[in-house]
Amino acid sequence: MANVLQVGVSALVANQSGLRTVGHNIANTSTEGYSRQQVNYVARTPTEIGQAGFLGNGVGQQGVQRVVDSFLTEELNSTANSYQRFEVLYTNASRLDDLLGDDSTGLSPTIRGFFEAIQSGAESPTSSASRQLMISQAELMVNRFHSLQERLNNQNDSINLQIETIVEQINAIARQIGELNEQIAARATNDEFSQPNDLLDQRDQLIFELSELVSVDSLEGDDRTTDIYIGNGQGLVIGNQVFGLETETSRDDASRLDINFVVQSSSFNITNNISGGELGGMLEFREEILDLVYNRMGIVAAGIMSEVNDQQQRGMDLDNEVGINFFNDLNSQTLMRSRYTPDVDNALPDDRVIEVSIDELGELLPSDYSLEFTTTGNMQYTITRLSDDTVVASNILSGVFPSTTEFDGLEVNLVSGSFSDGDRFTLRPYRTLSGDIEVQLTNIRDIAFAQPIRTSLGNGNVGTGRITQGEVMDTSTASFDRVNNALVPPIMIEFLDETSYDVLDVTDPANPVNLVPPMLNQTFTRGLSNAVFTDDENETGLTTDGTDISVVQIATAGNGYSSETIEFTTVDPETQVISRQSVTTALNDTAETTAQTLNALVGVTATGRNYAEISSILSASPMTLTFNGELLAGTDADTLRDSINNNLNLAADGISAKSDGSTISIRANTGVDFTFQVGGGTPGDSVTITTEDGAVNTVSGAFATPAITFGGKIDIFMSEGVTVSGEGALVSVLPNPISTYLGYQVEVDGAPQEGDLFFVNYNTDGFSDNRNAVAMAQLQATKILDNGEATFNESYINLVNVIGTSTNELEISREATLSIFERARADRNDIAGVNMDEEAVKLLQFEQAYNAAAQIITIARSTFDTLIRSTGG
Amino acid sequence: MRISTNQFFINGQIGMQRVQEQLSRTQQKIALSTNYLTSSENPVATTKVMIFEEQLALAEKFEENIGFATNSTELAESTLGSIVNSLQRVRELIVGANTATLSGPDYLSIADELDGIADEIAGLMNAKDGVGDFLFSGFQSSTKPFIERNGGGWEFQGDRGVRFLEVSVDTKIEISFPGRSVFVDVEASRNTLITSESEFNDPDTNAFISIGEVIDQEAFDQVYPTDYVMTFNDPPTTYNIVERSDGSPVLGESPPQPLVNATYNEGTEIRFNGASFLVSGNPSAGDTYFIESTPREDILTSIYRISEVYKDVGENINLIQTAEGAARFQTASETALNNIDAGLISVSQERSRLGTNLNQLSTLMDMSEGLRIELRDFISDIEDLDIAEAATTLSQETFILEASQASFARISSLTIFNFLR
Repeated sequence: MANVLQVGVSALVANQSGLRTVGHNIANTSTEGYSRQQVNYVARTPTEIGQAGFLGNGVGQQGVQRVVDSFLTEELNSTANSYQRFEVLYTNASRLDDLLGDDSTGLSPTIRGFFEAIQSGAESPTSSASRQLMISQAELMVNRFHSLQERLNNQNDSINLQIETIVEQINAIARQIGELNEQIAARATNDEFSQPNDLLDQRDQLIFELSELVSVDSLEGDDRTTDIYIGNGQGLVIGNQVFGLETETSRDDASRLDINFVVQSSSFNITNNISGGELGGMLEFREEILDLVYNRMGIVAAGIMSEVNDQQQRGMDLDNEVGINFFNDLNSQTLMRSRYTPDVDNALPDDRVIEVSIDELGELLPSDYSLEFTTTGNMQYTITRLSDDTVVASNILSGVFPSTTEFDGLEVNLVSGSFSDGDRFTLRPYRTLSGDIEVQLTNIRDIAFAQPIRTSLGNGNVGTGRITQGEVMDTSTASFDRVNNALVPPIMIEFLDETSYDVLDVTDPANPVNLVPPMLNQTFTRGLSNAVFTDDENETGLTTDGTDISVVQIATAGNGYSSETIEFTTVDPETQVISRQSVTTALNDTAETTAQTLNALVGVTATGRNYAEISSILSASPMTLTFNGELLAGTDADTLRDSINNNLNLAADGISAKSDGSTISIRANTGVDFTFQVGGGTPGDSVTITTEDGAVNTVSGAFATPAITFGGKIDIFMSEGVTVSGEGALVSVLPNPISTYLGYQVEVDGAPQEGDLFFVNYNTDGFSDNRNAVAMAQLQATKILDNGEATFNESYINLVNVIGTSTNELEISREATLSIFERARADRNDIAGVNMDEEAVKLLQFEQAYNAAAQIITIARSTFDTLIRSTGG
Repeated sequence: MRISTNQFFINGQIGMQRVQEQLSRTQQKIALSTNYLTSSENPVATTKVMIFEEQLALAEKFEENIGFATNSTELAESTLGSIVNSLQRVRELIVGANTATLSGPDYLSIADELDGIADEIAGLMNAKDGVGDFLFSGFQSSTKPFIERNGGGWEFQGDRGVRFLEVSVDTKIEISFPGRSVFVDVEASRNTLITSESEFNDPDTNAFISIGEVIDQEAFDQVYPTDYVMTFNDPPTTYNIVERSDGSPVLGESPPQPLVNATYNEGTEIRFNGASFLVSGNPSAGDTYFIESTPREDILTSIYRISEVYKDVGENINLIQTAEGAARFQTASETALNNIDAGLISVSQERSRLGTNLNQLSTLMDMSEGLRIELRDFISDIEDLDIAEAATTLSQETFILEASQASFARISSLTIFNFLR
């Protein structure tokens, strides 16, 4: 009987456990991470009753087990991780997308407005309303730049704040996992069916929550503890030992937080190893999207500042002054020095000064750069573009400041300081530009809608030659006198014949003089538009001024110019490759010969010329003057002049003469030697010959009169990068060539005739001139940025497009990862979740079994009672 | 398949949330009447819209420019029309004066009328545009282009500057019309001269040079083209006149000796090589004047010169009684007539050029308007919502939402516990 009772009791207890577990399941239906539990029953070991076999002993409980599939749990964790990453990326990117693309917050309408205002200026350049409009539209645009920059900064700050919160959450979760590990280790047994199910569920749930925040690896240990690894293997939780993360201001960017892993008292940066989850998404957004927006907007700002300022400086304002900057200077010292951050580990003292100037707008790329000194000990540094980790330049700091390196349209100058091996710097050329741009010009009179030069034609021009209105490239040259608001010198172009002209300084309109160096006998090609001045900003020029020049040779053949080696050194402006060309002249070579030789060199243009004046012609009787072997007729200035001008041999040498009645001036456009000899006459007859440099020689007649000879000069023009040195005969050792770049250009076309004049002058009071306004307005449609493929606005619109596209992609990824996550959650819940109906059925089942077991005990008792009574009770 | 109760509720919630989200988007699109709420919905289309809008703004700006250019061209064109009328009258007067039956006072009254017309033409040439800038002075819009000279005659003060305005992406059209090329650079029937003073002259002197004239065309043509420079010596009681090109002194007419250290007699005509002019006032040492030969004569000077001839004749009719005088008068009249004709041609040519410009402007306007409408269509096609379609979508989504709400409510109440009582 006792056995029946035992069986009954076992059933009672077992079904009670069942009921309790069902209750527990129902209670936890909505508990996050809860896995339904079930009791495992097993029939007890039976009692052997001899031949009759075995009698059952009731039911036993093997344990309460939770229903989990560890594969599904892991799937849930990893899908949650990628969903959260895309969720963060998408949320942040779509905020930017709304901001940049919207007309009320984006840049596009204000850039348009600004250039439209300039167009109005082109319509009526003197109108103060249109000038005021340009300034106020510029301010609108600048404010929009500023507010966008502020929004970007806010987003950056909010990311910092979120990183801090997430790091705290990670630390809290890590601590809880550590505690659970400890509790689990204390309770866990080797028995598969007997585990602290609810603690395991709690830990799984914590790991799930951790996975939502950041990618981690978990590894289950022998004692049922789970180790959590973060980054590239840093143990966040090892058993019950817990380590933590902390945030720290980034070593190369004060506006950002980095993430450190803390081990005991030391910590190290694991920012670059963090990925996935909310935290990974934040870091990814910051590096890949936010920086791109900062940089691309900065480039648009740089383009507008630089181009509008440049054009403004090429113009003339309402006070006849050359234009000043409209926006602040893109490459002011303050801004150039604000574009880098030294690494905190650089050796003290922190005294390095670097300047980053933004030069070639078309070449700029939206990236930051790192500048690192190698540790090889030779002060070599390399510059790496961070967007694609490409080394773009390297250089050696040889101890001479500044050390200049150019790449990607930027120029980096190491200016001063104790640079040393191992130094690191981060260059951020564009990060703050959208906030830096300011309208600097406040007085509407200072807007330069006009250009500072104008051209005109001589009153007496006979030909049909025309001159362009002129184009100004650079007003910082010496041509523009900013004090007197004048062109220095004003220019007169005088045609010698139909195909050649002189360019003269006409400061005194009654007395035009040569430029320095002279521009004489220039070639004019009919049918073409002839540019008068050089377009080479770095062209220089000089006139031969060596020791042999102006030395008059008496009674010797030749001009007495010694043999000389003239050497030209060319530094290629692009490659810096140095090449040398040299010419060795022979004794007595004429300026004409030498000029021809020099002309054959690369980057060198040379023109020979000679000049003499004949005055004080005293002749009492027939005196003859022989000039370059030609016997000249006459003894008065006008006749001699005609005699020279009518001589075909002399004309072939480019020789022509003028007379003012008493003095003849002779000019040779070729640079041939001049030889004069007087014959006949009587003592006292003489002429005075003066060279261009004023050497005066009186040549007398009557007796054996020695001939005098002197050579001409050479005007040498050298292209950018070319320098000259000589031994002194023609070219003094290292002459100081003068820049011949005037900063403006005019072109002459048509068919000018001899004596026709063209003038270039300052555009004094030319306030109605709108050329500069038109040029400024054209910037709107000029493709300046992105390799010359985008206007300012297009570049910005491209940015909107890039952000829109990434937001779109991110949204798709977010949707995709969300449904994968939901699927994984459903899968996990389908296995591990509680189903109420199922539990209800079990409830009924256990209730009935429990009732039946109670019945067994009742029956056992009544059987026992019957037995007792029957034995005399 | 087994479904956990929790998951059942989650599923219901997710389903309804999705539909709600779609519904809200559709509603927002209808409210804003736009196809795309953010550029990320269709980055290609929305950036296209931004670029179209940029082009549209440019087209609108160009149209504004075309309007502005049309106005100033029309103003210039009508001013030139008035000048043509005045020149016709000048022509009639000169033709009339060429009949031999006129008396001295007749010539004087013709001269008077000519002076009046010259003033009138000068007024037209000094016309201002809508914003108060001189229409024909080039870049120096606040400088009156034609002023009367000291001692009579006219002088042009403007420059050759031409203002252009962009009227399409690669077309610029002028919106200012320098009087120099139309009124000043007029081909003269005979070579003539033009006098001017150096800008470096002592600004305090009251001296000036007369407009000058060619008195002996043959002598003048013989040395043409020669320019001369007159410089006052220190003290300015004497002066030199030399050829500008080589500095050789000029031979005066009476007495026939070089004009070097020639004595300055205020108001006395200086004659050489067929040219004649005079200097008045008290020049300072170093003051310089230019006497340049030119194949051109401005319209006002042509009128002034013939008017002066009529005045001379009017005051002394005997001047044309001699055969030589009559011939000279005849020549002067013919020269003036030819010059006025040349002026008429020059002004008319400019007029017809402006007419061409106006045609071009109107064509450009049509093109631009066409482009603008096209761009608006493009933008509207991309951006504007198809309301009918959106409304259908909205009701469809509303229906789905209602259906899923109702079905969820029904199904969620189905649990076995309801039957355990």
